[in-house]
Amino acid sequence: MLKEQQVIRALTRLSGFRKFLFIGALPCFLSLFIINSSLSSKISRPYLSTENCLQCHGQEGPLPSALKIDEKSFYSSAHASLDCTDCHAITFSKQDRIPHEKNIPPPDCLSSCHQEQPEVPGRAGPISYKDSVHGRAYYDRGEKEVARCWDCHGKHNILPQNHPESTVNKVNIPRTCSVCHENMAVVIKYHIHREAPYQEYRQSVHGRALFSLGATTFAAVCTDCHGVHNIQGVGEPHLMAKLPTTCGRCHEQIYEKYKESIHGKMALKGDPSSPLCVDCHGEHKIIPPREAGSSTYFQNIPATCATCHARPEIMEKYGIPADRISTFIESLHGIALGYGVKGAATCVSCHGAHDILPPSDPRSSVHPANVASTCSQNGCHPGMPETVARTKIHVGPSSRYSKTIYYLEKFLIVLVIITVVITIIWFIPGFIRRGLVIFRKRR
Amino acid sequence: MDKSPYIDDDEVFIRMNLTERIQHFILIITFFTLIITGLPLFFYEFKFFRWFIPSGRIFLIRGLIHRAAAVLMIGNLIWHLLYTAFHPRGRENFKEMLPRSKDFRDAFEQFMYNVGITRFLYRRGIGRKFFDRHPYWLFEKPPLYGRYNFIEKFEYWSLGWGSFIMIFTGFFMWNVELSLRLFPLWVHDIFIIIHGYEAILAFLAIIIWHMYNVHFNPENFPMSRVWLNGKITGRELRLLHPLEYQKIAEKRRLKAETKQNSLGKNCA
Repeated sequence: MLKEQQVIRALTRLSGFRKFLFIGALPCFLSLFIINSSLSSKISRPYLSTENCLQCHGQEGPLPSALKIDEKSFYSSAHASLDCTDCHAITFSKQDRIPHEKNIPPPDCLSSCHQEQPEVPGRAGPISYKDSVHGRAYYDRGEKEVARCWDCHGKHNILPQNHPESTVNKVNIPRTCSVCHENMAVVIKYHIHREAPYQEYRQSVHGRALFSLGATTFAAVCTDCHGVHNIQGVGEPHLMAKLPTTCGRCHEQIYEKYKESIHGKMALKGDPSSPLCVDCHGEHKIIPPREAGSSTYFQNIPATCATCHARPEIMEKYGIPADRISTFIESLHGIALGYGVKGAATCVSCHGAHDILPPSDPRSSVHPANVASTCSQNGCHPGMPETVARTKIHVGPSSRYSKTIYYLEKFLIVLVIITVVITIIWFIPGFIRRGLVIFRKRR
Repeated sequence: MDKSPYIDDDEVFIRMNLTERIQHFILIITFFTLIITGLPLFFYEFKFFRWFIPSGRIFLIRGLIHRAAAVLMIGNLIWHLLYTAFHPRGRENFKEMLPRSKDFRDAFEQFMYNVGITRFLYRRGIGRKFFDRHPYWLFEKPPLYGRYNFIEKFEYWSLGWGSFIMIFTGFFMWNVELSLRLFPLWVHDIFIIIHGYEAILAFLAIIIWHMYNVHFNPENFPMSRVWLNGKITGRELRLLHPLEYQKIAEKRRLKAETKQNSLGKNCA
């Protein structure tokens, strides 16, 4: 403030001619100073306009086609107003003489310009690339093949995100990611656990919504679950793609139910064995439950639940018997389901799907007070008496917990075997004798 | 059994009358329908039944057929009970069907006759003194049977007992809500298990015992035709049911004698 006032005062004291000289000389000095400073530094960056570069690098230039760029696409790109040298730090072997040196460093988008905050709050800005699975591979491990800015956004033809032809437009993102993630060489080299995520995604509800239904504004694409610039790899704690809160951004009501359920409560508390959305529904290939391939198809539900509930090492932790699935499969409900009866009760028919609660919770559908009404829902067993709640449900002959039935079945098996054995012992001599009689008669 | 002068070998006797044949036929149909539609539930892990019942809709139709066959079988049973109670022939059959101590002896004697170990020992000269004094233990001839032998009696009563169990348990399986109103759930589970195993027992009993008796018999080897035409010849009667043969012969002898007596009286 003070300095400015002094300069203004000094200028007002000068006469007209002197004023002209001073103001005219100022840019000259300044430009000299800039040139001087640029000469003194090692990288010389003389001003080269895009047109200058395109004399060689344009479509009609003398260079091999790998070094040419398409002027049209460049001038229609988001960076049309930039000069080549803004991104490409070229150096010259001889002072100010073209051609420039062969090896020039790759552009550094992050340090030069793109440090802006994300437009959508909660989304990661470009700068968080450095901490992503791709960025760490590049910066920490020096992997040269890893995805960099231009692998997703394009090189000279960068378009704004909302442009329909942009590689990072919502519609094109799955295909953009698939360029590397369906390349088996990449998948094998970096031990990526999904081999064909794009093919799986295309069949999923999200992929169908995007490609077939045209829900281009809200259908979930890769970046919606995995993150934009801050994509993390499998094995990271609190992986965004697995968190129920990620699914809950769109599936709000289901998330509200899940949050209250025993699975949701435990999972959100940080229990690693509690199922997340993806554990039941699958990851890339989420298919609606009415289709036979889905893990939530009525016939596949016991198998889906069995991934945890048939494993003693997991069930021990929570004090749940590990025979819940096997006793269901041998029950009449389970047998009917095995033969594909659509109306047959599955796990979720009684326990609920997203709102599963332990039987000790009075809100649970399998709480003793609610069992009778649960049985009579959907017209399955109308008029089921309240007494049904008095006994244990998951008991079957294969389970030792159900004493009477278990031993009764053993007894019956022994009875059948004894009867058959006695019958056979009794019959064999008779068969032989009668056979001999027939044989002799024939002769 | 010696041939009686009162019964000709070619004479035809009615072993099963039309009513009995119809009842038997309905029983065959319903029994095998129930077995075929019920076994997939018992052997639910077998791939074969997955092929047999390819979809859930067919599974539900299977249930309907099973229940329809059950109702028909119950109707047949009621008919049979009424027939047994009110028809003179039914009553006679029932009396013949009652188990006696002779049946247990018959089973033992038949087995020993089939094995023939004592005859073998006798021929070898082992225990000759004992066998000379007690020729019964040689089992030279198979036991003599009446109208129904012990195998037929066993089948009849096991079928009756089995039907009772199957109808009782099946009724409560059909009406789960009623069953759970009356019994706790574990009793209902027992019903389910007993229904399955009793079915297996009945199936084996029919397959082994009955097939053995009516097909694998030297007198009627490929198949006895009694269940089709109900007829049995005097010769078959003499070989398979000697006591029945004797009974008829005795009856005819008495009849002939009284006739002769009355004739003689008239002449005098």
